[in-house]
Amino acid sequence: MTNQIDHQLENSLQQELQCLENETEARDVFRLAQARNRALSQAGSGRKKGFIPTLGASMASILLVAFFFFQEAPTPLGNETISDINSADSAFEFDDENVELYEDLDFYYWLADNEQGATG
Amino acid sequence: MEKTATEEQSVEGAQKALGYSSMEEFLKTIERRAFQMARMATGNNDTAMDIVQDSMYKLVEKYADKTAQEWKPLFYRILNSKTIDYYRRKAVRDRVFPWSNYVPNSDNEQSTDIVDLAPGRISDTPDEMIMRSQRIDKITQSVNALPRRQREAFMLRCWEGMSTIETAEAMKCSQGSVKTHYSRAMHTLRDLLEDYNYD
Repeated sequence: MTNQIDHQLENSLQQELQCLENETEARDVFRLAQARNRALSQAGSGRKKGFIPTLGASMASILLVAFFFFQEAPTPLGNETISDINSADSAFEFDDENVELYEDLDFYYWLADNEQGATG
Repeated sequence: MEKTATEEQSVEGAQKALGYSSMEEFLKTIERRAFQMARMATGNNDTAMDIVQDSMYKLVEKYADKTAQEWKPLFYRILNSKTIDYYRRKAVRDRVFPWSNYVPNSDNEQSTDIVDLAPGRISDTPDEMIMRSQRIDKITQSVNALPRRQREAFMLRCWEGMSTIETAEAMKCSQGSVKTHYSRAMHTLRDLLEDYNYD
């Protein structure tokens, strides 16, 4: 009995819903046809159309980042530049002779002390 | 060579049975139903139109190379997925902008207009139109009162007339689950539409 009622209800609902479907407004039917045509026409060329702008945007971003990176990065310092900076800051040049002077500095202090002791 | 000819014949036979052979024909056969289903689920013409269009677009883009028999379950799977996405977005929007619910929606207002909702056949009298419109309203409310999976099973089995296998494919679940959801949906609808005259 329940099955029969269910079957009747099912058939009746199916008919009502199919009526609703068939009575779709002309405006909506037109919009559906537009949507269908748009889907059929755009989907085929969607990848090609989207690919070029995406690639272009990616390349432009990379170039922009690279441009700012090389603009802001300090220029590599050569030997001449280092010596220029050092000579500007002080007149001291770190060549081999000065290094030896520092190494022998204790000896010169000892020599000076001895000379003072001898004279004093 | 003979085998190829036989295969071609069987494919043609299957296409004749389906009633469509190209993607365009397929979309033509289902677009109105899909639109009405989406409208019933969302209660909004424009949203329903967007959902159907997105579903069409995705089907053509991703699954055009599949066989014609597979299109229907795939399309309804996409449609269901898009409808769920809509519910999720709506839930977030309602939480963030709770006052958005109170904004009068001209489309909803329009859909409650009896003449617009049920344009009717030429032979229908105004009384018949009103009665049918009320019946449709009642059915819509009852179907919307169903849990989502039961509603999907009902729509696909009863309205679309899909088999249990196809419905299971579209709902991404087992055939047993489809039978359970459908049976529960019919049981609930029977209770909700108790006073509905279905003789």
